[in-house]
Amino acid sequence: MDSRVFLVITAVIAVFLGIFLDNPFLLSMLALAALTLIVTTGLNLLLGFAGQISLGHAGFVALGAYISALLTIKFNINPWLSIFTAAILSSLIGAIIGYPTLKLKSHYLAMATLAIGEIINILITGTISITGGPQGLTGIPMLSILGFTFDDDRKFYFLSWFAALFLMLVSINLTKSRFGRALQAIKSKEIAAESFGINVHMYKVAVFTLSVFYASLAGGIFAFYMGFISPSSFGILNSIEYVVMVVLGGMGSFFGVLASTVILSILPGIFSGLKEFWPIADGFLLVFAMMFLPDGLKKLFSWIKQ
Amino acid sequence: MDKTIILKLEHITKSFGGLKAVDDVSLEVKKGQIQALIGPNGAGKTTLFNIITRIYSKDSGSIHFINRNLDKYKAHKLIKIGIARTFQNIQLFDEMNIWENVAIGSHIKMKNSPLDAILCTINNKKWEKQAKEKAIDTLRFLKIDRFAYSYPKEISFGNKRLIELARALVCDPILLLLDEPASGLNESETGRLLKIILRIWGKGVTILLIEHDMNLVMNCSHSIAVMDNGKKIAQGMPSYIQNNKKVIKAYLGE
Repeated sequence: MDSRVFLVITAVIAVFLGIFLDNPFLLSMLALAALTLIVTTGLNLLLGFAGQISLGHAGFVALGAYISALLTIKFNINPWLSIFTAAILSSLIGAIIGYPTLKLKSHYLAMATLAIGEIINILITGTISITGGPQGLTGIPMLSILGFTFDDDRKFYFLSWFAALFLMLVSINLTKSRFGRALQAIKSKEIAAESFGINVHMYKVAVFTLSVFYASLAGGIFAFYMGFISPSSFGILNSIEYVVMVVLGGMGSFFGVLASTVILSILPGIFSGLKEFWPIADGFLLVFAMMFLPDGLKKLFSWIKQ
Repeated sequence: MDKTIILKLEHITKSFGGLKAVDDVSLEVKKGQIQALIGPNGAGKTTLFNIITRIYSKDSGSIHFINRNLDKYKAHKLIKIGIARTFQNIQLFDEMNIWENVAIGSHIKMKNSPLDAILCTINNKKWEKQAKEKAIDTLRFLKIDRFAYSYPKEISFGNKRLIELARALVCDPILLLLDEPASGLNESETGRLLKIILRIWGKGVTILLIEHDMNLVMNCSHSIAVMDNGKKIAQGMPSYIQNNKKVIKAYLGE
């Protein structure tokens, strides 16, 4: 079955839940899950398709969130324009950082991206006069369009799922073309890919930049949804959780990643009493997935497809 | 430069630490010929291939391909000017099926943009369809189109070698570099490979062939160059090489 058919089924389920689900807490969890899905979909392009790890994506989510919020608060720019501008600016920063970083391989790349995520977090925490530092940034207005304000969880649920599924469609279409094949070729055999006309480094930088765009776009929407952001939402544990979601979902499988993202986003909310233990659970899940489910939930979807 | 010479290597040298892997090698490949490059293991043949294809940088010397100085080209640009290669250790892309593997060879010739792909434009469909058809046509030329939808792990070693060949052929190369295409093949598979190499040559493709299988080399090459310890020790027609004392000594010892 074509992935786009799966996408339509997911969209129908999402709309159905959005209309009939009456629990505001669950609606809010699902809305946040959709925003996380935007990040993991982008990371899936980078990690699942091109085979390049990033342990610093929470930093780019933070960039999107802070730049967009600050543009609106300090310069009174339209929130939608702020979100988009922030995503573009973050992508530029991502490209500049990615250009030298992506010359590194495997664990060197992991360490470099981990450091980048942390540096962004420290910068935000340190520049108290601009970002509010560890206390966070408040006073972020609500999003509205043509007099329609996104002032409750249900409205945000629809907005974030629309954005997530739209960006997923973009990713699916992209990967079903020569660009997706080029990324998979890079993941599989770099030298062979290079010999067959694929500019490996340029592709790595491009897909990294695209995944940063996704992450910062999600960050921007997140900022305007929550109305308040602080550095603690964008720490290293968040970066690791994104990687866990992609690995557990099955690298290169959009719907495996969708499933793992939704499950792993909702579970901590349901078992909120065990909040402190989630990072440990994440660690176990990552090891478990790598040892016993190297294909992740993707396997499950290929069974369904057959 | 002589118009019949398509590839000209002059005084190529490459060292790894203290080891001279390629030592002052010059070689000319004539248009429309099958030029073989033989030599014992460790003679520097594959290193020379990797220098030609810009995977390794050379220490000195020059390489010209149809009047172009290859120093100006990065590895990923070579296929655009008509140089394609296969690998000694099979380098198929495991996560893609066979036609997709082969279609990678057409990547550089496709004109659909990322935006075309995202918006599923007619232009995108046209190029993608064309790439798929070309890939399957090439597989058909090698009589392995039945594997188009299989994955590399599902097919035999011998057929994998042919798929590598298909991937190199799909971009209509002017010069094809084959790095030990018969290694790991049994006798009948090598026989099939010989016929295929001759068919590819029949289409006007110039071939530079590294090979250990003497039967294959002697039966298809117009000219043979022999390397030993990084140096070229002889070059000539198969009959000349067969009786060359230096070559016999390199292969059999004193």
